[in-house]
Amino acid sequence: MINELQLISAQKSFGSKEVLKDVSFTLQTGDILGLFGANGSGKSTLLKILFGTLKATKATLTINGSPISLEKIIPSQYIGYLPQESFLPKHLKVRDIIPLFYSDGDDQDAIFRAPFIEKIASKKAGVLSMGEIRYLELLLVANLNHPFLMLDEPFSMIEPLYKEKIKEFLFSLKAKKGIILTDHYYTDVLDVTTSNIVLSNGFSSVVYSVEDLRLQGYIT
Amino acid sequence: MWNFYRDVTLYAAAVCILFGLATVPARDSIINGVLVTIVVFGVFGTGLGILAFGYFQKQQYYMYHNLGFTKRHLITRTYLINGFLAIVLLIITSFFV
Repeated sequence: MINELQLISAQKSFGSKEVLKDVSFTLQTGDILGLFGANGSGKSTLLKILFGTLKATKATLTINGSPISLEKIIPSQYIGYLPQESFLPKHLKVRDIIPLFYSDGDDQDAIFRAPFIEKIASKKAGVLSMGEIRYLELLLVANLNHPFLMLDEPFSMIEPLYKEKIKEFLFSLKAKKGIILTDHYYTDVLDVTTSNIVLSNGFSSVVYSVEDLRLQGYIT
Repeated sequence: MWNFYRDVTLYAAAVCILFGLATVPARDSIINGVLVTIVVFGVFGTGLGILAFGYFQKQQYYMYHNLGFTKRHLITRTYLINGFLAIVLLIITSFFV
């Protein structure tokens, strides 16, 4: 089934500062949308609004053509979200964290059998490297049944080996999800995305190439 | 959900037990001290536990959100369960008064 998420004219102000003035895009199953922007341009703010953990000043969201209140996103499990900071309980071992996300044995096995997971299964989350924890969190969130997935800086501080595994995994997810991806490692993002937008001065613009990113002032 | 409940309740129990230990000597009997501690647990304990969770483990909310639990859902359930637990403990303890 092809699902479609449409964000229409999202606006967000913090006091007198307008972070988002008019941001719109459409995301379908099979799309990987790259979201670029300088620090403070509102990328994480936009993702939090879409996830329903931050209230927008104004925004209309439709899923498969039907408007949905942003407060309903979490309970209806339309969107999975990988935030920038690690969110797993640090005192638990990986093998004890996996059942928190998946009660079904087959689903748990799918995570345990993923590359790199077996060797970290008996370690506590708190002692994993940045790459290991990021990869584990991505696997845990992305394998849930949300039709859409948002990833905030999945490549940051990640060693090349894990980056390649993450890219392979994202390609494999395309068949069943629509994905929004934001990261300052723009070459890694461009490797996997099917379309891209850049946030600048509160507005979103479509970009097609590195040259467009340069024209938008994101890179020099 | 139960992982959240356990973490919040452990904070709540720790604070209330410390409160109980600190105030029991001032009471006329140990049972009265225990009763007051249970009331404090039922009325303030969950709130304190949630504050502590928000301070030490705030990022973990994203794990629960990805599983479909809103903050309101988690907090309401925890308040209800601990309120019920406090009432049961009060009834049991009152038999020893």
